[in-house]
Amino acid sequence: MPQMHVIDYEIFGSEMQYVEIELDPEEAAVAEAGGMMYMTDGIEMETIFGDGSGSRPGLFGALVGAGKRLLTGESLFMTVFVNKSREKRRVAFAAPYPGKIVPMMLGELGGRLICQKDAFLCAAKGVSIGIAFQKRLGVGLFGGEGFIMEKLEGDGLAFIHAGGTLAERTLAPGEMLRVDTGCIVAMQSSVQYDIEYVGKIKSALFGGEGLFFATLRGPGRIWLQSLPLSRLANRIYAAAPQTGGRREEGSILGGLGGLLDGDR
Amino acid sequence: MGVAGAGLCFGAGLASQGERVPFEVGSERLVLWPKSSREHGVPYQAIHLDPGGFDRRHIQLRWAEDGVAWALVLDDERLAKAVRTHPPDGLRGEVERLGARFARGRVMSGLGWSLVAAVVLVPVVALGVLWWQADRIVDAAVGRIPVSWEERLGESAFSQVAAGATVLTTGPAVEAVEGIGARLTASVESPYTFRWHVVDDAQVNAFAVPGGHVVVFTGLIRAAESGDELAGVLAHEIQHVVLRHSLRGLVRTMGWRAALSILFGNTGSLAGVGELASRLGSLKFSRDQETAADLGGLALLRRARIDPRGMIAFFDTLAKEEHGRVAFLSTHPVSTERAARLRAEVENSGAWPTEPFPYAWTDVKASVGTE
Repeated sequence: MPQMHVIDYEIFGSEMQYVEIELDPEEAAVAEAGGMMYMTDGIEMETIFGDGSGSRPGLFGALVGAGKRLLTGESLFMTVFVNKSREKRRVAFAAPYPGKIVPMMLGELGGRLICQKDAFLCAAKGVSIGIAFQKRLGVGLFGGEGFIMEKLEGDGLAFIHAGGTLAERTLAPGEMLRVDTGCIVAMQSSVQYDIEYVGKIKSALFGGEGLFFATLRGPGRIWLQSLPLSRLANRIYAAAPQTGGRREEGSILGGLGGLLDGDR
Repeated sequence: MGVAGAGLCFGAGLASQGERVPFEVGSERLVLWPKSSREHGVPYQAIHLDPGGFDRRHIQLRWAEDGVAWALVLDDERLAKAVRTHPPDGLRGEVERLGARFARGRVMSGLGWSLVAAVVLVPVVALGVLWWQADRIVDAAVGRIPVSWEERLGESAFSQVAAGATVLTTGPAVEAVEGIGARLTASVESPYTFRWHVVDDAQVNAFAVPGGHVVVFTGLIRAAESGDELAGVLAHEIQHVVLRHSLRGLVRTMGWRAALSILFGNTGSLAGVGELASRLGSLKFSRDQETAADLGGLALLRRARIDPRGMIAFFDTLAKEEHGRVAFLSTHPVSTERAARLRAEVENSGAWPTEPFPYAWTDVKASVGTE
């Protein structure tokens, strides 16, 4: 078991958050390249190949790890922030879109967490960031998360990010929750992730919820996001004047309203 | 002594996200040692086994106590396997049922993935077969095209060529081309009616469109040193018509376009058939087709008692010419190699009696002007 670094943290902001992490001397945190917001003097930044967990020794291990990271659509490299001073220092990482930052104590969650592929924000050095490949075809195709998810392993603290408002639920053994595909942020590895056909052709076609639900079956804890980034992006794209979209907010005058309120 | 280890346990009095609890699969019952309470035994008849976890490789032991659902998740694959291979008597039935579910899952998953592989591979394999059997498929398709259809196609292709060009209808050059053509085709048994056209164009070029229209540019007449040389070119073109080479090229190109548009869903490329037909005169022939036309042409010359040295000499002249100026070369790649092959062929079969043409070649050349 690699050495986990115990870190203290504080989360700031309400809807657009950042997390400030306090590092003791020689402690380190890893983050997705580009996630850093600020760091105090004395923290050194180092770009590494892989996730720095040291769980796969040797060059080949590092290559395999990096290759898997490529699959999740992330960069090959991660950045390690090490406190090289003799005092406590701070480094902050910001969420890339509106939502909530969730601290996850992996040790209390059975040591393994499956999350949506761009949910990872940062973690204590020692947490291994791998992929969980969805071998079940139907779930991969229609589950909303694709075939590749991220797997965080270790005992340390990891921060993940959810879009919109976060819903955290604990499912008892056998308890099942139907979830709109795309709203899953993370789940304990004991949770069964499956899909279920909506049931009626009419609701499939006109219900607007798609053909399938994701179903999560306990035992285990799950985290859901109220607003997946893709949904937000779709709405913004559809409303952008360049794409011909124009979504009026409650104006019964339509185009005339747009003329009157002056934002032509 | 049964399988022992630690699993993620959920139940009354335990943390809601589960706790890592040591357990032992004893001979009579499952024994748990939660941190917060005493030893906890569960009789096997209460326990159900399910595949569990994100990738369904865990084993979940589920039971109920006083209306509370409990679960022990074996998320260590070695532990899960140990329980499956050495189940206590009380769990044997459940383990068998679980094994069947795993097997069924594997079969379904295998079927699904094979289907995906098939969907991806079918177009690739289809293209491969098409590539491999292209000649045979084209042959079969060309064999089914009636001559009348080919003639109509040629007619339209020729009318497009003629629309943008000056077609000579009288004069020594037209007479010479028609005369030589008639002498060459007298011995040809084919369903085609050959028609000979002289187009006033400085390019050194001659081509045949399907159905028997042969077009000779005045530039080529000027470049030829004798009637024999022109006859060589005409004999070659007649062979292209009789062997349906242009049609073959058209069918091949259209076939590929159709195949690609079916496979990749791009129907736009099918619209180009008409445009393609109009470029029939500029379709490139393959090396094999050229060789076949050369040898066939040579045989025609022999039957028509025309001196083959003219054909060879003309190819030699062309090979020396620069490529850009001689359009004939872009559709009929001429090489010294081809001239050499003809020469060898003539030597093999020996010379044959020849009859000169009744035209004064200098007059013919003079009638189409000088450069």
